[in-house]
Amino acid sequence: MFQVNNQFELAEQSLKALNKLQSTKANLLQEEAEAKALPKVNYAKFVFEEYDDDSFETKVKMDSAYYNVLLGKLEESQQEAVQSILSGMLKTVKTIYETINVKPKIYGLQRLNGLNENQSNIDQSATRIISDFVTRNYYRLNMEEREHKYIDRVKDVSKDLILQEGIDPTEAVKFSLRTAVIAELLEHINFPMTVRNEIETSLTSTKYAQIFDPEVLQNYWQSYQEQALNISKIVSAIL
Amino acid sequence: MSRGSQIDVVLKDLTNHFKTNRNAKQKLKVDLENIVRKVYVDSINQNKGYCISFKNVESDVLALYDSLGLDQPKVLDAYVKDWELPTNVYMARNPYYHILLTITTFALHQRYDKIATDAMTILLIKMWNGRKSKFIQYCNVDTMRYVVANLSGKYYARKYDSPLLMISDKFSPSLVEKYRAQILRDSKQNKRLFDQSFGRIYQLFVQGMKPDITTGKSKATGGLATLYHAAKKSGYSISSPKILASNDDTNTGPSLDMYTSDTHEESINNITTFIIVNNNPNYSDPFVKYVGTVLKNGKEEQIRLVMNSIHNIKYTEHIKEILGLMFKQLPVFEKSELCSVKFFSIVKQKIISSKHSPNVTQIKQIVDLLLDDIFRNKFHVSYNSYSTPVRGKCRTMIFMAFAYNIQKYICGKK
Repeated sequence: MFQVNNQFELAEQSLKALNKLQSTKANLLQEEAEAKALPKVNYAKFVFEEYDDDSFETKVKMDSAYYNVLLGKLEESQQEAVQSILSGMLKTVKTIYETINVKPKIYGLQRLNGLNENQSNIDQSATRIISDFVTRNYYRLNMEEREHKYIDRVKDVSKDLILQEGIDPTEAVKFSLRTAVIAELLEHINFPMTVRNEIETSLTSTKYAQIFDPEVLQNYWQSYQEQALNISKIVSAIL
Repeated sequence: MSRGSQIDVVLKDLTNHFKTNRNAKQKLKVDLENIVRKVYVDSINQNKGYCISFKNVESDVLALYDSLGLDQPKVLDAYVKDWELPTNVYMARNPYYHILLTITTFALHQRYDKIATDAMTILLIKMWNGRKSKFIQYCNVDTMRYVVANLSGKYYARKYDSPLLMISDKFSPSLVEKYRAQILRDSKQNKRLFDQSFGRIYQLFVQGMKPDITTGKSKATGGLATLYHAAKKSGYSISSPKILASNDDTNTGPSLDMYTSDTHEESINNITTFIIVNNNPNYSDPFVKYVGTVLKNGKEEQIRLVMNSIHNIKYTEHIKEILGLMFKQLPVFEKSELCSVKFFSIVKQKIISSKHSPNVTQIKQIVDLLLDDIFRNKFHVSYNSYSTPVRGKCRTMIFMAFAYNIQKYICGKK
């Protein structure tokens, strides 16, 4: 049997060992987290050039091929209304690129010869990319898969439709799903994957927050999503 | 490697040389880098923009035969046989090109990409010199500056501030990449690389050949040389960058006179002293807010912290270098412009947003060193661990602080 003193000593030693173990674990976790975070930072170092206005102008011109396809079926009066939302959205997209200071990237059309490419080639590629995207992310999925994939995007829109517009729940969900697919497509067009990663990094990195204000970027991002959602609703109504 | 190719025999000799000399790769890499650096430094000193004739590095290039243990007549013979060259061609029989093409071909086989692109850069600068002296024998720098400033976006010259940058950053890597597969299949195909290199440079000077209906002969409708001669005929030009003090300027503050190198140095020294002795700077609130707006989401407190940090005697040399390079980069403007808000837009446009100017590249490197130290001391984080876009935003704070201090010194206000 241990004496009381010995037991205290033993408890003290156990506590020390436990603390040491926990601090080692914490260090390991921290190292692991840093190791995970490191490639992201290095990735951005190599992938991105800094923002410039010329590249954004080129992006807008190339992306117009996508918008021509998406908005082409609208009536003239509808097109005018969408144009003002679209230019508002593009302004926000520009501000986001300026904020993260990343050279604008073009979705899916990189293999073409930029603005020197024949316009009909650009239009054809844009049509094909949209069609592939919608097929892959909507038509090939069954209802359950669609709901699972877009649950976050769907719930608010369908709730509004059901409660405020009195639309049949099944129809509301179907419409919301189409809207979600278009919204996702717009997100890909405006912010290709690597750029979305950089936005996410800027929004979540504590190191970034030490120097810059991520909330400002968060506000721009929210504005963008609202504007993109408005366009998506109009586009999905005519799909 | 293709069967029976004489160039492959030369490549085999080169491979043996690399096997027997352990430092051969490093030596070749350094030799090529030194040649490129020599040309680069000379081009900065010449400061002739697209009028430049690059430094002649013939002897350095030919010395590579010896350092690589290659026999010049044997290499010539290999190219004559493999390329089936007649006796009356001059360029294709030139040993200068042979050694560089041999190095490029060898480097592609060994996957030494940096060596391949450096060799191509050295090859292309000779081609540039040849075409430049053929098409524009006497080149007026101001006329050429006018031509380049008015080029449409399709011209590479519009995108790169100097022909050397255009060659080293665009032409060399793209040519190497384009012909890599063909050369790896058959070394003799480096003839195509050679021809296309010539074609690239040629097209820079003359392009868009169309028949002239008055003479029936083909005539270039585009290209640097065509546009240069048209501009010269019309008397168009843009004079060299200088910072001018306006004659009717009533501002009583010290003026920045850049006409002579002595006063230029003096002004830089004065502004440097002005910055370092002011160890308790007070950047105005509207100015800090303005920088925050330029950065879109800059935190005012941190902007102030970074900008205040440059007022330190230990950064004297950094500050001098940065000021010197900033003044080199800034365009012609009157003192009234320098003392207005427009000055910050000019700094933004010509320095912060500039990507291909050698001056800006150099300034950014020095600013990075400065920020590295500031970040370690003030934020306790490594500046280099931030991504390129974030570091770009941090540099903006420094450039704005410099612009503010230049203005404050020269215009004596705020």
